[in-house]
Amino acid sequence: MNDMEALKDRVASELPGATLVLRAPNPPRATAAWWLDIDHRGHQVAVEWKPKRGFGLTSPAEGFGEGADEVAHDAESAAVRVLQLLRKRAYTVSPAANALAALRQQRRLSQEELAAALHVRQAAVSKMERRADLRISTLRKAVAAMGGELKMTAEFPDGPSVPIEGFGEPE
Amino acid sequence: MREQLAATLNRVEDEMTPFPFDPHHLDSSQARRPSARMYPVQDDNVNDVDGHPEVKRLMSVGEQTFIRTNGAIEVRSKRMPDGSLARTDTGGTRLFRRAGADGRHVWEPQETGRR
Repeated sequence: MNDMEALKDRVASELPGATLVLRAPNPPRATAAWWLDIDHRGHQVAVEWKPKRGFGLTSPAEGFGEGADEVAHDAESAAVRVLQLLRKRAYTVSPAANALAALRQQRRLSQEELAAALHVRQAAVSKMERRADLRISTLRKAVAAMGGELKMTAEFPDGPSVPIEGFGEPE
Repeated sequence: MREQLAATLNRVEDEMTPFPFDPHHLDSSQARRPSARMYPVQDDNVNDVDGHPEVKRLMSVGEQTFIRTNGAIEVRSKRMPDGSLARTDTGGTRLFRRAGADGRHVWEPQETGRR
């Protein structure tokens, strides 16, 4: 039994009722990736394991061509983190996560809660939080949905600060 | 086909994101680490599909991409329409498909294909 098969057995043992889909390399290759997709009461985690390279963990499990959000270098730490994500219905944090993600977490909101306030799907919030750049109008709406107000100021070393208004506001 | 997909993705990432290309992500001898940049699927995530020798399956976090030797391509989510996890390779929602040069889609049998 390899590390990925052991992880699958452990999750199945500790979270009875979880759906686990294991995909082995076809044909078998020593260094190829194994995938384990897990759904526990609607909360999903994708695990990619490459022998000698470690585990990649991502939740929510969505995205094309994207690398894992988090890395676990050994089987034990991977198992602990996967079980934590599933039990607490938590999400991994993308290395591309922007200030919006930090702000949401500071306000103790889940992606689902922010999505409901914005009338979009949770996946849309996830994508917003992975963008390196956001429209001012998008950021303004997100901040408003969290109960705040976006204010921008241009600051200059040799002059007074200037409030910036009119960008990204409803017409 | 894979080379075209890889070149397209790399160009989009170069032009639309601030994250530089890191060749270590393509080197299987390197320990893995998270990255903010998207990378094309590499050989260690390309698999055969039982019963469909013309089709290769490319794995990624949320989707599977199927490419046929005729150039047909199909992208499927790992989730079903109700959001639950698909238990089979073709059980997830189909997100995109395009026929190959001969007009056949990824799973279309040779004998019933369009001319």
